[in-house]
Amino acid sequence: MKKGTLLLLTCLLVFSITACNPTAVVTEEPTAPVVERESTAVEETAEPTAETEMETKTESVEAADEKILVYISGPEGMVNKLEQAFEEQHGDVLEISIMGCGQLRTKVWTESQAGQIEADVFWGSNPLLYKKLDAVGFLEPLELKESDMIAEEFQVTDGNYALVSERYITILYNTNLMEGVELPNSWADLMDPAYDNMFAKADATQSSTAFAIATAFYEMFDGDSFFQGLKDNNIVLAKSNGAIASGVMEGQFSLGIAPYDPVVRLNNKGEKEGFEVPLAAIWPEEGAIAMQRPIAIPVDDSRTPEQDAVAKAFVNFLVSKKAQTIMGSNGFSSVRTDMPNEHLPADAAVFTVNWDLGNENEEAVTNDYTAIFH
Amino acid sequence: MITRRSSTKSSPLSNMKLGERASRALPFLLLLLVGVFILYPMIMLLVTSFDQEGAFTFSGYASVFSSSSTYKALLNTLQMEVGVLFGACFVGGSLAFLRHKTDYKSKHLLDIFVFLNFTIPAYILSVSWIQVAARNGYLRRILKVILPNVQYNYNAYSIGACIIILVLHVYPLVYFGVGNALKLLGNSYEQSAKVCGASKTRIIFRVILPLVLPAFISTGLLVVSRTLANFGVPAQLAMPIGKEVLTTRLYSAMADLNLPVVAVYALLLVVISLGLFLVSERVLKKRVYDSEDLSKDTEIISIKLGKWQGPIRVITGIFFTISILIPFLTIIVTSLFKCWGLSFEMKHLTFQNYVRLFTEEKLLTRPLLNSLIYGIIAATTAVMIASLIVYFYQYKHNRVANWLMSISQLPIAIPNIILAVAAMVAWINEPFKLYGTASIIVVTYTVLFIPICIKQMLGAAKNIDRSMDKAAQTMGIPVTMRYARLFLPQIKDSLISGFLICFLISLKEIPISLLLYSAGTKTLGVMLFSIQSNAYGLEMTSSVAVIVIALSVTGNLILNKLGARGYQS
Repeated sequence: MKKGTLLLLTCLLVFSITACNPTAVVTEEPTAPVVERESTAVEETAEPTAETEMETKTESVEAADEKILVYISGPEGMVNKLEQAFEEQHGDVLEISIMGCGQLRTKVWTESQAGQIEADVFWGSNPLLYKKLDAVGFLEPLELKESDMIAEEFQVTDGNYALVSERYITILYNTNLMEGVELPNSWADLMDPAYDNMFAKADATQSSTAFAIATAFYEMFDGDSFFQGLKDNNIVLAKSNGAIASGVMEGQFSLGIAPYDPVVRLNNKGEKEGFEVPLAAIWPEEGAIAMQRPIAIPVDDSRTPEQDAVAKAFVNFLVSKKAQTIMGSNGFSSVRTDMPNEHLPADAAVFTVNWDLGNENEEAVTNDYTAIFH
Repeated sequence: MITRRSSTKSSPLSNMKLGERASRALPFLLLLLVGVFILYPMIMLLVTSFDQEGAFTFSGYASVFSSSSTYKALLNTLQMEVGVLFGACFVGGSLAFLRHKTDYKSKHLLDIFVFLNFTIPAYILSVSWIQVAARNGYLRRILKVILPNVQYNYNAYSIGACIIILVLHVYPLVYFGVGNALKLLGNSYEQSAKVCGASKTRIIFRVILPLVLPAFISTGLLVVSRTLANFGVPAQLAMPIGKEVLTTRLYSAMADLNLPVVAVYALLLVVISLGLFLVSERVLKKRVYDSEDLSKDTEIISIKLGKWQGPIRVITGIFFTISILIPFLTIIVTSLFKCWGLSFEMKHLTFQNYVRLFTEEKLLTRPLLNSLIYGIIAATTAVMIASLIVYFYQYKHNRVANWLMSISQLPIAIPNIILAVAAMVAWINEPFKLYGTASIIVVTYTVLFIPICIKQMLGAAKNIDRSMDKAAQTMGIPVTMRYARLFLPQIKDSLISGFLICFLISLKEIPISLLLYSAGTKTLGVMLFSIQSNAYGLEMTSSVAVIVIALSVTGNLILNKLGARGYQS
């Protein structure tokens, strides 16, 4: 009895630690059935060509043997649609962890410091992190099957990552609250005391996209003068960019510095559920900041060939027309030459960030930003 | 046949010897266990603070102590601590005085409302604050109807807002702590003062207050320590205006991708928290009352409220309306909006948010299940380990038992966010790699829960007559048997209450889950904190909050029914 009690205590403790280890569960789970499924047409998806479909089907037999872990920062609804569309062709092969871009950046970096990035694929945030990881040899070379369909400005020739989509950082405003108020035309206008206490942006210490935006402003204004201007106008710092768009729409803030894509999603939601979305964007004179969303496969010797194949298939899927259409309906611009950029107004100026300079400025941006805002 | 049986089955005597040997090893095994799960992460935190890519360095310390952000965070922390301390002591102390020393008529209601305040998670209070006070909040909307020309420019984000929310969250600690002290005081000192001709005011300030001062100090220290450890409220209400306290500074520092700096911030918080903990333990040990034997129904009334009865009831009514009714109402109403910020019309109301949480997008199904599973496993493990530690501490009184007790009490003094950072640096590498799995959350919850369970059980264990265990020991009954058959049944109630308290904490815990979750291991706390970040509005945060409040209130009611020992403290 006494030995039994001791044994029971130990077993329970060991069980509590091992039983809930998803990695352990995954290895014991039967592998996903490698059955080719008929692709059910997703409302806004384009039909793949017969050739690509053939390729995908062949791949699915090899790739569905083991699940891969994917870290994604992006809107949940869009990610779910993409997962569903990919798994319709490849079976249940994705274990997706959706998180904020700030968390993705911290998580991937922390794991790299520990020697191994846990994810088989990570997607989201901005090129800064990818360039940094690539420089220390953490990323696997990537070859896109449809690279000839990728626009020249989105071809990555000097790094082991790919650009999947682009978003534009603009000035959002609440149409009701700004009625009768002169709208800002440029980024510099936001430093005008007339906009004191009126606007918000995501906090660069919590959101990596916000950090990239801060890097862009540092480049645009050649230093931290814009940060100081925002601070002087009592800008509110939100947890994420998503919270800015919804905050402006809800009327918490009159103006917001944020990506444009949530406007598209909120408009879709309003249309579907029958309510007005008092949200619009100003495309600043200096240019809306173009923010590309990269994807990469980290180096991992323990990854099986099947997992490797799934990882590569997933990356290729994301730049396919089908996936790009899903992203487009969620407000992201395509990187493909055969798809129009429907979210960028024809007369809008675009500010292209020099990401290499961004990485060089990283420490200065971090220090200046923290000193001014925190 | 008989010979064979006797040769294979060991004798009871040898069985006992074996059992004794095994039981002698048990405290060492436990020491190893708490050493690995509690001390090792802390040591790793210390090591990380000096480690920069394998080289020994003080750069983390230099960076932290040369940064103005550190001192700003320290100053904001201090400001928040002082505000919350005075606010909580004033509100909790006044209500306790009203409850125990006056003829206030609704004493039972007072207890219920304070209890309800205790059950609402602080983070939810802060969400509700934003819904009420923000630029498009309910207050502005109401004002717009009543006074259309008035401009509403109140900034809902400030350290002051954090203080208000935290006071509302922690004042019940003072209410219960000081209330118990007032109850134990009796009235002999007051009677003596009265006989000597002292006025009521003089009795309050010169007799009662000095006597309950130790209670104010000990609960005050608890308030300070709880405030210091809080992450959710300053993250919600102070970070948006660039104001940081130590916990949020640590969280922000993680974004700088510099682990030594994070470790140094964590250690700074550990040092302050441990200091506070040790001081409060010392004060608590010195806190001895000359108590009277009071029957349950005895009420010693020092002050008759007279004509003040009505106004005081109105003031307490307003207070509870602000602290309970408004938060509950705003959270529930907002959870029914299609989108927060829309006008209050039937066409804008929906149950779709709940549908989205549980059926359509199943946003909450997995996190809720995760919280339940992790909570049950961690609370069960903690209860088992804590009961063994309390047993050895109670009956063995040797060095190992003392070490066991001291080490396992450590996590109570350490903010949750630090436990998470320590777990991250400790369990990220092989061979003890738990990072990226649910196990790291379960282990860290367990570490957090062990001292809470110990606190629950220690009081009950002290009341057990030790002669029974001595007698059983004399009869040769092994320690495992004595623990299982004699000790556990006698502390059964505190085992259950310890389990439930821990389980309830796991349902609303944020920092540990937020820093340690990975694919498929999101919890309720993570959803509560981050659902708004995933492009859902405050209406979705409110829907999650309603679920958390419902679980929290139900669980706490069960606990209250069970009369959990020392529950409020």
